[in-house]
Amino acid sequence: MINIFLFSALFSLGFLVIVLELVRSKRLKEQYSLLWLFVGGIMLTLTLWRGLIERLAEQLGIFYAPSLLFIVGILFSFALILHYSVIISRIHNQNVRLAQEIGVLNKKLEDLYESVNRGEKIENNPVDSY
Amino acid sequence: MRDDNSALLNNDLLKNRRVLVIIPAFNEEPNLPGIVGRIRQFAGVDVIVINDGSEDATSAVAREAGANVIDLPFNLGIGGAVQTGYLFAYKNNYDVAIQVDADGQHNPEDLLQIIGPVLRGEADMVLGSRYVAKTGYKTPLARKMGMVVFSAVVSLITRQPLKDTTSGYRAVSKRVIKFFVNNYPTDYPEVEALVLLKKSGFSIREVPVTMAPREYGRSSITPIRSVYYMIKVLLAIFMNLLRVHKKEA
Repeated sequence: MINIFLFSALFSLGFLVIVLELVRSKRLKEQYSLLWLFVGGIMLTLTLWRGLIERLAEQLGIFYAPSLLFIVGILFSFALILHYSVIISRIHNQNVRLAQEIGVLNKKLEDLYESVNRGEKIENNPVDSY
Repeated sequence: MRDDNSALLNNDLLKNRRVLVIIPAFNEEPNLPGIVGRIRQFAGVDVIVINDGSEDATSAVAREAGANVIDLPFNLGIGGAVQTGYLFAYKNNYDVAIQVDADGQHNPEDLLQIIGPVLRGEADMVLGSRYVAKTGYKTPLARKMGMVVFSAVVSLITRQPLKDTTSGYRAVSKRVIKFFVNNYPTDYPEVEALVLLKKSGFSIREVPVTMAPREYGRSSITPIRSVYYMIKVLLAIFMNLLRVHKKEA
């Protein structure tokens, strides 16, 4: 008989396997896989340990126990999305700095070409490395 | 005013001091040649135009007008563009950097008034302000309201009366240049930068300047954006209050 528990168990298990495989094949970085593995582990535990979810649901006043799974899943999804917003912000900052450095470097290159064309001697500028 | 300027130029202050004018420009082809030409009348002042991914001939006309140009590979927005100027100033060892808008609002004739206190070591940042004294500038109503709010909030936080907090006409010292390389807000950075500087222990002075309406084109601030502008800036200021700032000066 297929019920939500069996479905969740298979899904969680398959999910964990996929995450591990992505890390193994280096398509997912270890540090970004940790939260996913954690989510998968929690979902699997809640699914298999049926007593736990029912007891928790009762404590929280949830009438239909499997709906606790959904809540847990949704909350973890929010956490993950927030995690990604943080990562995107960091990548955004790095991207801005890269563009700025490229702009400054191109300007320097232009100036160097000009100096060379004028036949000037190029000296190493210590300010370059900061 | 002209006489004042030439007196200042002949003054010892500018001798052996490297001064850089930073002009962030996004699609400012019609306005740029005029402003660059007027700034280049000042001897001993370098001009760098930060072409922020313009789709028009901004870069070409700036070069033609005799400015140095940095072309950014894509549009970073005003904060990222201006910060590029500070990065350039830092790497090339400039003593003073002045931000000037590309749209012709800022009079280059006020340049020396703005850099004067920085050169004399009296202030780390000098803000060119429309409102310190009566000047010719008429502000649109909606903008005026936003500016009153910003002014009140910033003055309260910095414990110093600052009127024209959104003014992009400002000069900074060498120490601030170094500070801005690693600390500069991304969009609508003007107001936040003041709070950031003050919290890090730098001094700010406001001097009156005359401002003209834009020559060509429209301001980037539309009604919908101005709401976002208000919220973003106030949030940024609030967040700055919650941060621990290392005293740089």
